[in-house]
Amino acid sequence: MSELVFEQVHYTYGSIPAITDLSFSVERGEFVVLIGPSGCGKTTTLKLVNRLLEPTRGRILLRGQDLSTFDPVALRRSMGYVIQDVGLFPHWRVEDNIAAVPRLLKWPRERIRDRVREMLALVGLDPEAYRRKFPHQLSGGEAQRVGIARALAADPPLLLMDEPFGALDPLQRARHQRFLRAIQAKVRKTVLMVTHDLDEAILLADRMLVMNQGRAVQFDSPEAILRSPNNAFVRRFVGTDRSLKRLIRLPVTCCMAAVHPLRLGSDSLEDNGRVWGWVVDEQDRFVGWINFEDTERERWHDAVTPLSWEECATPETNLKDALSMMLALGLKHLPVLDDLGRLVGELNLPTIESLLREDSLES
Amino acid sequence: MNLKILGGPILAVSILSVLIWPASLEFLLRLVFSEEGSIYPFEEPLVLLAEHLGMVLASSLAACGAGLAAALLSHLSRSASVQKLFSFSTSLMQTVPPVAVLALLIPVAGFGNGPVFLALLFFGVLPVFNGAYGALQTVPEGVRNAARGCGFTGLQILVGIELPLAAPGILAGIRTSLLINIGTATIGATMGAGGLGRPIIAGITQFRYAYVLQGALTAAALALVIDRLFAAMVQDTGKETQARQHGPTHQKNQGANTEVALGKVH
Repeated sequence: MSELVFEQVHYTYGSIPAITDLSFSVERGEFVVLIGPSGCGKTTTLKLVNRLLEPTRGRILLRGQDLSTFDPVALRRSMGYVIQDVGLFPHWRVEDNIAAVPRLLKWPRERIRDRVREMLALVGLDPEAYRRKFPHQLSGGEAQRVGIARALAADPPLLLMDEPFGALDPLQRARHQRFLRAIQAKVRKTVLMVTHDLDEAILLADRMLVMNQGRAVQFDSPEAILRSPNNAFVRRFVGTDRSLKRLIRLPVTCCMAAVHPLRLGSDSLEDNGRVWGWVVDEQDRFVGWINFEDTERERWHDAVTPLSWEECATPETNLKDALSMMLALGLKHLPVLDDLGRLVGELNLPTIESLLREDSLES
Repeated sequence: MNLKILGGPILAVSILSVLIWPASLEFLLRLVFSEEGSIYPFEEPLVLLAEHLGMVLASSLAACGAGLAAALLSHLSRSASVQKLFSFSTSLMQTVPPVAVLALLIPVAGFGNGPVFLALLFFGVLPVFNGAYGALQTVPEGVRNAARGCGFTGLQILVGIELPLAAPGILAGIRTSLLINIGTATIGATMGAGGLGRPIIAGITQFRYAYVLQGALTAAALALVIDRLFAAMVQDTGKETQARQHGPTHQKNQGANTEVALGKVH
């Protein structure tokens, strides 16, 4: 049985049809992103799920049961809700904000206290440092994370998010997206998220529902939509760089090649037919690269071109970012370093190119 | 509450006491008017104060009740027409001069405390209504939406979220209403009510300006006491509440440590 089913749902606001004939289903544990241009009805759709709005026609089923048979207030207490403005209650401390729904559900005090601590840890905030703070003492990113903690506090099976990272700067947004992905891997909630940021949707979604003018246009995995957009609208919406966008979903580990670096400690400069090689120090930490042809054998240590660790990829980097790094460095090979700076593999431009070619052949 | 906050009210009460105690009052008035028997003789200064305070508190209590009720109705109905209706009526009630209200009420309610109470009630509603309604409106929409989405009932949102956040604004409205009331209540003496208006009116009719000063200064001192009490109340939670109203700010320095920690999360 699907977790959530929309059956021919219509929503009219006054005389304006905001949602027309919307039908789709979401499975348990799925991360579905509603995406589309402004005014396409994605936020309206979300609000129909927790009954902040009521459908004009059609019905919505939650775990097989018609949504209208639930008491709206009880329903909302069983769903997590995160909004763009966060909406933390300013007159309550962080711990009281997170405890909001558990208190409404009359959880015992002990359980609430433990849960608050657990949630703060889950969102990466030190419980003792943060729980007594007031919202005005938090930065935008911290506040949004408390908002997520509040939404998850009562352990709802379904999480609704309405442009949760819209108010954050690009750096924070990227961090929060990665961090949400990590949380989802841990808690495996059914998530329905609204965003207008396509890259965000591609990164986070198991499936994307592309909407336009109140209708569903395409509902599929990001890879499928990027590979074969349904119609001209979707094609325009995903943009002409859709093959590049597909790379967002792939970590570098999928096409990493093995490496045999030269160690600084060893004196000999082996030449097994290679023109250049990576260089690591005595503790196997990455240093840079060296071109054999320009080097005197005896003093090759001085001829190493250093490369800073920030310019290199990690196993978590996605292929699109890796490609950008390569272009920035002007190299066709990119080192992949672990969190201690040791060289674990390399990426080659030809490999990425052939990957892209394969995919486009399939479509 | 620390001593610094209590300083204001204590000082104000001291000033008031000087004006209530016959000996010091006589002394003060003699400084200005240099004539014997300057105190209003027909009633103890303390009794006059008590009468006045009683009238003010009774009518202010009623005015606050009416103002808050009107504000809540306007806010909860979420209808612009209801709000405009109340706004218009309360403004009207304050625009018509209390003296005129009294004159109009006398044929109906007779002389004495009754009509004065009504006149003061009408006059005091507007500040409370404006303060309360305005404060309720400034509760951020995002907070309200989040509360609804969390599963708070309408009543829980009003009592647990909106009213606590609106409290400073509501108190400010009540404060204004109360202070105005103290001055306006002196008019009651023209219509046979008690209070600090009695020495003032008597002094005007008998050309004994010491009486007028007695009444006026005591009323002013009373207003000072009330004002300082409210100031102490506000200051106690002042800065915290101010900041709390505005929600999270982007304080980059505080974010720095957690950004570093967050680097490890992914």
